Amino acid sequence: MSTSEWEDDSSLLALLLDVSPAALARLASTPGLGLQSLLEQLLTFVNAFLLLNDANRLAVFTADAAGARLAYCSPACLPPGAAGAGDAAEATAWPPSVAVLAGLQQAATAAAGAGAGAPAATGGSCQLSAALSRALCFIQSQRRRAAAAAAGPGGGAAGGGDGATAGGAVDEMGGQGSQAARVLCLSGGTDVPSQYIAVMNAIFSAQRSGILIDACQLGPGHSAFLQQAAFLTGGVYLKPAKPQALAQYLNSVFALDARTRGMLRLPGAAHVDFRPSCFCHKRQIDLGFVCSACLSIFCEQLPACTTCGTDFQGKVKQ
Amino acid sequence: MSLTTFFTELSGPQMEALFAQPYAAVALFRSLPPPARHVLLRFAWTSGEVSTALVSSWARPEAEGKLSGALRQLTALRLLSQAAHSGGAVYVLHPSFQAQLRHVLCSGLSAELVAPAAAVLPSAPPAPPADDLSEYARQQWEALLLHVVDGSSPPPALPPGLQAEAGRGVDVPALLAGAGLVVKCEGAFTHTAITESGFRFLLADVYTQLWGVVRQYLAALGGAPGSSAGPDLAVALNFLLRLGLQAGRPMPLAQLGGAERTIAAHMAQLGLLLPASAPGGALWLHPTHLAAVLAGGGRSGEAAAGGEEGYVIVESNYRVYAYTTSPVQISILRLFVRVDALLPNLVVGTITRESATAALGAGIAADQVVSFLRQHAHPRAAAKPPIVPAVVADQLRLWQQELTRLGAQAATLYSRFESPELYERAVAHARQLGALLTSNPDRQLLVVPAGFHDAMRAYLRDRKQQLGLG
Repeated sequence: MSTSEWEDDSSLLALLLDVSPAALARLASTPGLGLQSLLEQLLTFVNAFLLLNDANRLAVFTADAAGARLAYCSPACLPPGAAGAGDAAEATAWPPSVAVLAGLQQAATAAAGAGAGAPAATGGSCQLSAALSRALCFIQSQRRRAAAAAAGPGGGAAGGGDGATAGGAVDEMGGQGSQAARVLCLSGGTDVPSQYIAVMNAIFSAQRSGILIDACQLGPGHSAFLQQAAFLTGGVYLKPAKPQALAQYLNSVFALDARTRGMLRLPGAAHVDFRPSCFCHKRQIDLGFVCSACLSIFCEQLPACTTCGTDFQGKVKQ
Repeated sequence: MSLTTFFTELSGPQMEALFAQPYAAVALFRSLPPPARHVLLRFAWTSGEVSTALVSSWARPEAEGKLSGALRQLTALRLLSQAAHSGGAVYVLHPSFQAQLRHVLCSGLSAELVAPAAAVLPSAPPAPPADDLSEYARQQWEALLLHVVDGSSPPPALPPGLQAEAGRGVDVPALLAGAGLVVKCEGAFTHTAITESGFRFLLADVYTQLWGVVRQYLAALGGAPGSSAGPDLAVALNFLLRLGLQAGRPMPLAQLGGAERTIAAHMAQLGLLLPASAPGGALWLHPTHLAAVLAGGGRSGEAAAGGEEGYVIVESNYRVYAYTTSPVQISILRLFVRVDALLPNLVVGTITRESATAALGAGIAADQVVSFLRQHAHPRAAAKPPIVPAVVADQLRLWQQELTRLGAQAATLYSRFESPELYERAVAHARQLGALLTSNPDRQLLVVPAGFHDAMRAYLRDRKQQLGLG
């Protein structure tokens, strides 16, 4: 039988939903895609993802100007034996879509409460860097736990680990490495150039740990950050031509696991905007000055590098 | 035996009846390879008809074979069928399957599993510890396996408290005999003996074993694949798959319908459900990992492992160490290993030429032995590939080839050709057909398999007429 060929197509998906006021206002006014329709289509995708494989794990984060919150995660992702054990039992009594919805609502109300005190630095857009880092940390912690659980039984004397293995080790029995993981950003806003460095750092760490970043841009214009994220991590960047058909984009492109993507044709990015932001004024630039020592980027000529302190006096010629 | 092969054997009305509930659709969906799953997902929200040209354009050029393989499998399962529509060929998705798929996509998996009468359901009792669950499942299933190996050992017994539902329970010996795993030998004293397929059954993974038994069980219910008894089979199968998809959620016996109750009691006997009394005295059934395996689509890893730890270490000197006390595991090992020592927690044995050829002669394939050893490898051994030393795996295959050095095949010998030219052409034609077994130009002899005789005769007649020899 060919089943062994398909042994491990399960994956861990972190879904980032932009719930910043600017994004919500924009999504609500998109023709054919109200907030309710967006949520309905999103829940279809959640159901489809969980239907594809019983070992699939999901975490949903909401991101706004104040940071990122965990709205929902699969019961198997909860730390074993934590206080959440009771909640886990309760969570399985409900379909995940209901739990996701409840989590989103909770996060939205919390955001509304905190909204008054939120810094206006991002101009009402979401903290993409914070949200990405949060999602990456979550995936990393899941991987660590799985690795610890897998090492537990082989460790022989580590009898205490057995209780912990019951929940988490199962993912690891099939494959050598850890479960494939990816992040899907549903963004409704625009890039905030001041977050350039933090976002790039998050992208590079995702690239290093083999985590795909997919992006579905519902906001106005293209997002250079998300284009680069998808390009560098091998994910898919998509700006739906028909946002009202979001579910079809989600189900036929973003539901694919990493291995199946090698078999099916996917919409690719025709053009990736690689423009960086300068480190001094956080402006997006086409041409700039680069420090010869640390590769920091500046929009104007400086006497010395503000990052590493290298003296440019008399050495830099335009 | 697997869920997908089971489905290919069903008749149209039976499939229709099965897809009246979502469980069969979900379990079938999950047991398909990933490309097939994604094709179905893309079909879910269409009108059900997509042109074949469009579907084949989905594949990347280098992976066209994989997509067409998936499409072939879906067509064989009759989930997709080809039809002509307004001039072009289209794939049509099975309408009932599509309805269930859409339903699950909209309302989620577990929504279905909360019964309509959820409000009146008493709150579930705390689940028994995971160890108890897997221990119970192991104990019942091992009793069944042991009964296959040794007919005199007692088959798994019906757990107490379920007599009202199941009477005397499943007749396990009859079930195994029906599945062709054992045969009754009438003689001076009647006993059962294991058959060739019984040997293969023992070495197969749990998923295959379960489906072998469940298929026979469903057939015994009167819903044999291909027969007309549709609804009962649909109820039974949907119920079984529901057990697996509902993993971890217990169900009160009193809430089940009449037919389901009997099946539930029988499945408790086979170890798929653990009966436990709630504080109020009501009997609740807790699905074990075997139930999850049944609906899990046969992927190893999560499902097959099911909390069971490997125990076998194979060394390159053909020594086998098995950390086990289970009589089933020991007797399975005895099929192909010469046991040298039985220690309290360890079996030491050697794979010898005699022990291996005895197993191979009984109808077990070398690959089955190797995959058994690999599947049940001790975690320490499994961490260091190759899990089964190459020298052992190769030797097993060589021993198998030795047994099949000579084979008999019905064939036709052609001789006394009228002319050398006719002979040459006949040989060339046979080679072209892929039917040339052997030829001897010196003696003008040609041998082809018997199945090709008609084709060769027609060709020779034509040639003779052309050459004017006729």
